[in-house]
Amino acid sequence: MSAVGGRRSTRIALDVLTWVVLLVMLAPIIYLLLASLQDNLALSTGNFELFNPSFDGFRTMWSRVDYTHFLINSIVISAGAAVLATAFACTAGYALARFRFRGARPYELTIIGTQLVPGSMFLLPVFLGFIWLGKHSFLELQDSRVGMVIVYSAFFTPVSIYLMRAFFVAVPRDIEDAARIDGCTHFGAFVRVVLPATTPGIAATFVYSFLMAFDEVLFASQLTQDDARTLPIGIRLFVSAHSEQYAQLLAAGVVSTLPIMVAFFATQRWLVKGLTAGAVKG
Amino acid sequence: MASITFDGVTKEFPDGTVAVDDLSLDVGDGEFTVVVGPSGSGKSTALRMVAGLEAATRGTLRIGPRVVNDVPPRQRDIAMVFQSYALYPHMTVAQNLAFALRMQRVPKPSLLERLARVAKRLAIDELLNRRPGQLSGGQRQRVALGRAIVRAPQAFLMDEPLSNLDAKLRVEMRAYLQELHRELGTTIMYVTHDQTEALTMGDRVAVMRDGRLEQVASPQELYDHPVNLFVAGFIGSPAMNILRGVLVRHDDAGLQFRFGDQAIALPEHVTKTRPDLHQHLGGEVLLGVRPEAIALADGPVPPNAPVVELPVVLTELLGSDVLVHVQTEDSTLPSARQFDAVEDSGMSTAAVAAKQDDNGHGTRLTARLPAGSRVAVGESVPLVMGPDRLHFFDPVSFEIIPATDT
Amino acid sequence: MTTTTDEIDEAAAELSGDAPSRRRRRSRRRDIPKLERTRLPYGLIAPAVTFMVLIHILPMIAGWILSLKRLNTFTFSRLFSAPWTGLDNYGTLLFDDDNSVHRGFSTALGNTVVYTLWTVTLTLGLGLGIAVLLNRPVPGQRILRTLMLTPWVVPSFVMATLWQFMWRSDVGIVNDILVDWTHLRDERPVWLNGPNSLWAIIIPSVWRGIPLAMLIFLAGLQAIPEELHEAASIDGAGPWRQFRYVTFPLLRPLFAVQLLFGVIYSSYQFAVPWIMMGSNPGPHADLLMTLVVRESFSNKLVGLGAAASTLMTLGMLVWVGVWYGTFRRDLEVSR
Repeated sequence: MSAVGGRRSTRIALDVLTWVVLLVMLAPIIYLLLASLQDNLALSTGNFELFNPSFDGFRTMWSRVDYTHFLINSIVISAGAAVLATAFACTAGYALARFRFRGARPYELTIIGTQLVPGSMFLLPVFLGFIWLGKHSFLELQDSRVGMVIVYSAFFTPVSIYLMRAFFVAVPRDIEDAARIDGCTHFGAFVRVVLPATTPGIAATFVYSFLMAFDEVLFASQLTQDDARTLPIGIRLFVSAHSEQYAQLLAAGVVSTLPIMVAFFATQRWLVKGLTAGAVKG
Repeated sequence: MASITFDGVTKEFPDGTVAVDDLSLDVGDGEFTVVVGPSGSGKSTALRMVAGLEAATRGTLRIGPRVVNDVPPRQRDIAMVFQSYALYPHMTVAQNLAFALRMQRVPKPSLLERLARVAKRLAIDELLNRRPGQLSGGQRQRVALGRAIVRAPQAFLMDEPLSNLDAKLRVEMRAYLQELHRELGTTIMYVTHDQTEALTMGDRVAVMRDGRLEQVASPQELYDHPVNLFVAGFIGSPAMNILRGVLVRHDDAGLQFRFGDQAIALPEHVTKTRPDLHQHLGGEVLLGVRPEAIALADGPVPPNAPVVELPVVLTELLGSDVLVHVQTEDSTLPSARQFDAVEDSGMSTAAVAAKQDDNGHGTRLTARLPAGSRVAVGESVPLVMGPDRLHFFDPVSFEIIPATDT
Repeated sequence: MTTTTDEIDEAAAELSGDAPSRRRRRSRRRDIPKLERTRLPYGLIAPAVTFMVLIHILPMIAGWILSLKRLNTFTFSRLFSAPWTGLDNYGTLLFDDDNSVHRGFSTALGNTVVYTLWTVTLTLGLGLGIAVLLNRPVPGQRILRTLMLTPWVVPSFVMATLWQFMWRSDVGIVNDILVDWTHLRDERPVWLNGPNSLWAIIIPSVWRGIPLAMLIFLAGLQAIPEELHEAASIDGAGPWRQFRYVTFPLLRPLFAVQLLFGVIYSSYQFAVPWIMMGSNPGPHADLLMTLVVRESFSNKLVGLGAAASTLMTLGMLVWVGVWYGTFRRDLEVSR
């Protein structure tokens, strides 16, 4: 930190340490990639063929597992939930950022409160509720994409509200006031001026919700069966049924990571800014 | 208590920028030396090198007799007051003051005694339990000072400590700092971009530009005898008038300085004492004269006095004085490019204009006259310049054409 | 040997004539919006609130009700007419040594506590360490930071599946490294069940949690003006003391927030053990959530499951209370 007095050898040592740490952190991922390019024989004996990649796993994984189905379910459900959660978060987050209204404080506390309760507390009644609705009404929510979207939207809205609120607070009031003087209603100013100013934040929130939904296991495990089964559950079924098919398993892992990786790296700058801005202010 | 010595010190950054270029400067033991210059002049970098926050690329830096080039900041026994004060936001005022003493394991009784004494002296004893966030700007500044003083170091380093204060407070604090210096007697190296602070506070003032030392002297010396155009235009407010004109022989009555449609007679003793001036005869030369050195010629004037008569374009009332701006007929307003150059170089508009060739066609002059002088906008007024207060500069090198006495 | 902060505070109190008030809060609320007379905010929060009521509030109330009944079935006719047992379910869970669910609950509780302690400590500690490491002016810092985030981006189920493969005692690479390459062990230990199995879930959780912790700490570090470190350096503090007296105190608010949510998240961990070890991870790695899901859905002990969830909520409220008491002061420090 000071220019005089830091020894050069310390600095080099720290540089080396940084790269070592990076390597250790990335090692499992590198392993995943390498291992997915081996065939089952290599994997079970531990003799890796580094220069002769085998795409066996990738080719055959589709045959044993209805992978496409799961992947599409996951993407559709996650995207749908992310859209709704972000939309709700925009309006609610804006309300909390800009207005002081009766019930704001209790509402905020409730939002935080929802994070304190274990998922099982909601899961059981929701599960029962879906079944009941399926029997006594036209709403088939159990094992349906719509049902999952509803549940996930509700679940990931709280954190999204928190993120979006931080973004809205960062927008100076002046431009909203200017828009209202120029003739917009308050809501109009929100839509025309504030939202465009927070596009990075919206993108970040969307990607964050998408990541969380894609990842979710607890609710998916009970609320889905064959129709709406998502990727995590599908993979797990596969693991228990065909535990010796390592190559396919690992290949499935790699393929499952790709959509997330793409989404992440495309928006990482905004995502990082959003997460850290919220953290440092909050 | 110690002196600070720069001996050929250079600071070159990895990207090639040379922030400090072969600086040799002595801050005497117990002296209050101000280093002044525009932004980018290297003054802050030089200060940070004394603190140990930057390492010198070349040259030797000494605090007292000790060479400190490789000594880390915490072992240099110096204290620094930052422009932003750098108070620890999570500590109370008392904890801020005590921090360095705790780091140096000063025994408790001594620590507490010093803390109490300094807090009282700076009138912050009532604030000791507060946090910096709860203090006003002036209070924070005193805490920053207190933090430095309580350490009783060999020298104080101050980096533009007054620039974040509002104008009135700044004036008060200038006097306050000088008092403190008289009391404590510690060596102070003080960096600022404000030439008023430099002139009022320093025992000696070092003027820097682009990493180089232009001149170091007492404030009066800098004011009376600047060595080049930059120093002349930088020191003094309002800035010295600079006229670009031609030096001609005017029969045997001596030399004349012509600019625009004006011709100023130069008294004999002015030209006699400047032998080098004759080399420029027939060619261009720069004439500098401070607004304070110009008076209204509303009475009898000696025959060879430097007089001009020009129409008034603007008057600015300062209370006790009035600044009167006159200009030759075909003069132009400073161009936007000139303002940019002023910003970049830190020099006055006049100096910039003189350096560029833009005012070959005309000039403005500013005179500081007593309030109540009879001048009106649009009228021509006669102005006389003090003949002993003229400065001549080489039009190419911008160095002063020296006079032989004084 | 050096004067302590408290001694300084006392002296300060005397000199200044105040009682040593701890954190005097000057409530300076900027930007106070006037109390809105329009109904716009209510309209804005309506959609979010609706969903919250449907999926959070109502189910929670229903859950409480269920926890007060004795149930072991999903049949709805039976659901509504099942006997009320008051707080019996809670009693059974907590105290009835003859009941297998109670035993499972105690074991899972113990496992979860150990898991949480290790995971949170390692994640925050290593996250902070790496953030400090990355905070130096290294060329390519941005790229380094983005790369360091990758473990977080890998979906948790992929990560769990991968680690399950890596932990296998026969073909897994962990044992390859331990036994074959570095010879740290002679035999190939078993990770996926038995006493090591808790570590089999701790390590992947830590690995996946470090990037986010690191990211947040890094942001906090970069928000500290460099001048504070410079001043401390001039005041006589070396790198370690700078960290202790200047850097870490300024990071405490961030640390507190991460601690709060870290504990909550770890206590409620489900995905990792469930994917790696199935719905019954065994007595060493069974966490509270895997237990509850198993008892509620596989064994259909709905009442006990709901009671367990409620107990967990109460436990979490206690944690929040403790946390708030400890860190309240940090949340009020104004810059």
